[in-house]
Amino acid sequence: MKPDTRTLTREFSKLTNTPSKTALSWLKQYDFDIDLACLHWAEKESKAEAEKRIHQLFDQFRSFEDANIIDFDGSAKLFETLGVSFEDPETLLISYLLESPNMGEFEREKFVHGCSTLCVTNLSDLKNVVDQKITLWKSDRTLQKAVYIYSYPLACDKGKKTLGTGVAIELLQVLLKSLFLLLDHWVNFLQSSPIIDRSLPRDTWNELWDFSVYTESSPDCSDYDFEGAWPTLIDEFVVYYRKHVLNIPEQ
Amino acid sequence: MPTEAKRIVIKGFDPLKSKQRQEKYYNVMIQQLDIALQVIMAGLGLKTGYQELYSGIENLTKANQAYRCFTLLQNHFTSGIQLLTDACLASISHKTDEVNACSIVVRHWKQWMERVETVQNVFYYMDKTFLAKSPEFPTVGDFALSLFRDELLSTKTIQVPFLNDVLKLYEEIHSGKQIDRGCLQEAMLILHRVQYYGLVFMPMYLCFLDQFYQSQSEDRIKTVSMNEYLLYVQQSLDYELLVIKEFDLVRHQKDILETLQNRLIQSHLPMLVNGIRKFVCDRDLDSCKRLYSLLHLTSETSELVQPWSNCLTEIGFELVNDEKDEDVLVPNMLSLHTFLQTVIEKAFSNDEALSYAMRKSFETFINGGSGKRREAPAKSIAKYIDYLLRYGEQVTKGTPLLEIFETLLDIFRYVASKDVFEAFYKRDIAKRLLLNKSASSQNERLLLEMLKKTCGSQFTHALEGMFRDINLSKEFSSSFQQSKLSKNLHRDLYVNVLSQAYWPAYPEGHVRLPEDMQEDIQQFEKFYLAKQTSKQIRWLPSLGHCLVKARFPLGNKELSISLFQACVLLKFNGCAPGEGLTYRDLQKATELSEADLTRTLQSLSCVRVRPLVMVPKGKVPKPETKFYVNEKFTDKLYRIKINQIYLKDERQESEEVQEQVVQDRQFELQAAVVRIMKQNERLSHDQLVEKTIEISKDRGVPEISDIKSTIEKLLNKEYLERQDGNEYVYVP
Repeated sequence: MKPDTRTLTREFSKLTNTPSKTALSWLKQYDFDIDLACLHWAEKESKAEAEKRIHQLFDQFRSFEDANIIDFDGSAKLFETLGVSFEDPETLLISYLLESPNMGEFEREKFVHGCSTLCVTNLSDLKNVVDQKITLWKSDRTLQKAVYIYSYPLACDKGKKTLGTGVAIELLQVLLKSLFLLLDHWVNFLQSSPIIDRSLPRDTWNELWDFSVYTESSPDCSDYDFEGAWPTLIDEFVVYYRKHVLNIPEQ
Repeated sequence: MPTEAKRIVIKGFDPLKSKQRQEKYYNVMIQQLDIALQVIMAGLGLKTGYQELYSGIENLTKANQAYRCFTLLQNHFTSGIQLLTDACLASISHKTDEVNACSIVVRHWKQWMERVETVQNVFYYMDKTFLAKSPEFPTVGDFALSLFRDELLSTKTIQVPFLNDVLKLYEEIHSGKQIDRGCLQEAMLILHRVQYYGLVFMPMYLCFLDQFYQSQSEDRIKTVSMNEYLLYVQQSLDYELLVIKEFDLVRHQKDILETLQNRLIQSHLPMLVNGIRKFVCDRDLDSCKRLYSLLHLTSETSELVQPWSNCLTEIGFELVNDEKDEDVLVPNMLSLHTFLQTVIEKAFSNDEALSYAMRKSFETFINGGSGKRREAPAKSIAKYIDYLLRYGEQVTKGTPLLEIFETLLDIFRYVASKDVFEAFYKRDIAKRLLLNKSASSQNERLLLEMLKKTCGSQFTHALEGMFRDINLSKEFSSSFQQSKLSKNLHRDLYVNVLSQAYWPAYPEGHVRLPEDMQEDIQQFEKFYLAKQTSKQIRWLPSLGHCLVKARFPLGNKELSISLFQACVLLKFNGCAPGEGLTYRDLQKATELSEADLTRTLQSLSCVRVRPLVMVPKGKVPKPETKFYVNEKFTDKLYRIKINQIYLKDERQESEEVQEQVVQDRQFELQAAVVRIMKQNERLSHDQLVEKTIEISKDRGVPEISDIKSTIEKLLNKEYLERQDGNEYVYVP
């Protein structure tokens, strides 16, 4: 070990309160630039510190049976604390932000990751950010789309990959309330179609968002491309819509 | 030594007197000419003194006195024509309606020309030398003509009736009436000579033709059928050519014919081309030819394309959508196709546009049947081929089979869903091969070769496999016969060994064979497996058939029946006379399924040929129903075939085949899409659709909606993923 290396290692070790081996490997990472190494160390420390606090936050709501899960009751408490009722659609937003795998459930790792991304470490921060996001959600299209897309796997039963059409309809009526002009007709169409007893394919759910955007510019679907990449269920809807609602004769 | 010039004196020659004599001669001559001209112009003809006058003219011309003669001529001609004009006018104004002004003018023309000719003869020398060479003086002939034109014919009261009556004569000719042809010919001559023909007459004539044919064609086209109208047009054109020739109108032949074509053809173009529909329906080749050649005259053949295409598509759709009589679809299509080929070749001179339109029409209607009828052509062609191969040339009414096959395959090329055809063809050929129903294996092979050429070897791959199996079975059976295992057989056994991959799926069925039969088939199985060690055998008793000898009280018979039927009948060997077996007994003994046993018993006791009697009589036997051998059984034939009753009738079976095809298509589509995506990893929606259609179109063009649902299925199964920008990505 060169003298200056040894000195640096010792200094670093003292500053950061770590054993010399760790100090050495850390310094090596940053080319023995002790300032840079210290900077990054501080970052990591604070990150670790933050994470610790987030874990503590998580623990406030965690379930008794499984320490790594916030279960239904815990979720209810969490939502309440954040000022949101279980029936409110904002729960979907929060579930999305905190990477909930299923409705009314949160996983430790994902929860921590979500909070880190939001840069919150405690409950009041979380509440602030959530309030901000709730406001943002009303107007920001990107966020709306992200929550919409996320809601499908969120609402699926545990272990399943597809969502029953009935449940899907309820969700749609919440998520697309003022965004999709033809929502009511879409719901009517689904209810009169055999798909009502089966599940709504994920791809159709996803593409429905783009379809709602499309109908803003073309509410009568006059230039709809049947041979395009739209899912066949949406094709069927356009036929239904043109025939029964707009009463355009078939060509 | 030169002699001195002597002065020669001619006695009696006095220049002055000579000149005086000359003058006197000239004056006399002029006078004589004057008189002569007068006489001639009065129409009295020149009787004497011709020679003298002729020489006189010659002398006068030589003496530079020609101009005096010409002046004389001028005066007399002028008065002469005036005379004639007056006479002509008088005749015309006094004429009755039956008399033609034309003939009057012609008469006067003749008179004039006669007189002029005489004068021409007299003035011959001057005419040819002096007048011909002097540009200021016209020749006698020219002068006469110009006078006739400018004095007589330009008189309106002569000209108008003359021209009108000329036209009237033409009208009468065109209406088929008799006229004085000589008169008309002369009139035409006049018109040519006075140069009225081009500027004055022809416009009037064209106008007349235009009106005449306008009214004629409009009348006719309303009253007569289209093919008669076409004949009329053809005849009118031909007749006009004759008229043109006879009356010297050749210079304007093109204009005349164009006028006719315009009125007869072009004015009625829509109606004419729409007549094609009736011609095709009536199979009227001549009318098609006539129509085309008439249109060709005016280069309007392209107008025929749309109506031709429309009528073919219409007729085709009618054929295809006719649900009532399936059996005539293919023969009708064949005859239609053959007829249309003849039309294109012989009537349309292989016109490219019409030929293409026909092919497009065929393609459209063959694949355009509505709903269920869409697959009808493919099915019917398969069925028809089955019919031909079963019965051979005896049903083709003399047409060689090869020809029919060729036409059939021509039509088959238009069919898009070739996989439907294949499924039915496969099913039918299996039946023919297994039941030995084919009229000639040569024909089978022939058609197979033709199909291979048309559709590629992949298409005929399984079919060829079937042929191979049959041949192999033959070889196998003969080597089995020669082996020692066959010595133990109780009776003749022939086995068809089918490779599962090539043949349609058959229900196995189960029956308990009599002991000896079981032993026999076990021997065969032993023999086969010894030779083909890696194979497995599965017996299909439902396909077996037997020849059974039966001793009935009223006569021995041979029954050609199915294996199931045989097993049932053989059980009655164990019955005493008068003893019968119940349904339950038979079920236990034969181990046949309820469905199989029921229909087997029905086929033996309820239809035409009844070796068994059912007690009590009914349609569906119950467990207690008893069966007896029919003691009174008799039939006029010795060897009797008894058909098995099939569970599903023809229509059900067809539907099953079609459903299978639809299912197969879905699998094929999925496989195709996966294959394409694997190769390309990332494709836009349109590209994927395009490539899928490209790959599949040889067997049948897929609908875009089918492709879309295939893509959706694959998305759900997570073989594919959507990406931004309308793309798909393969998920390995």
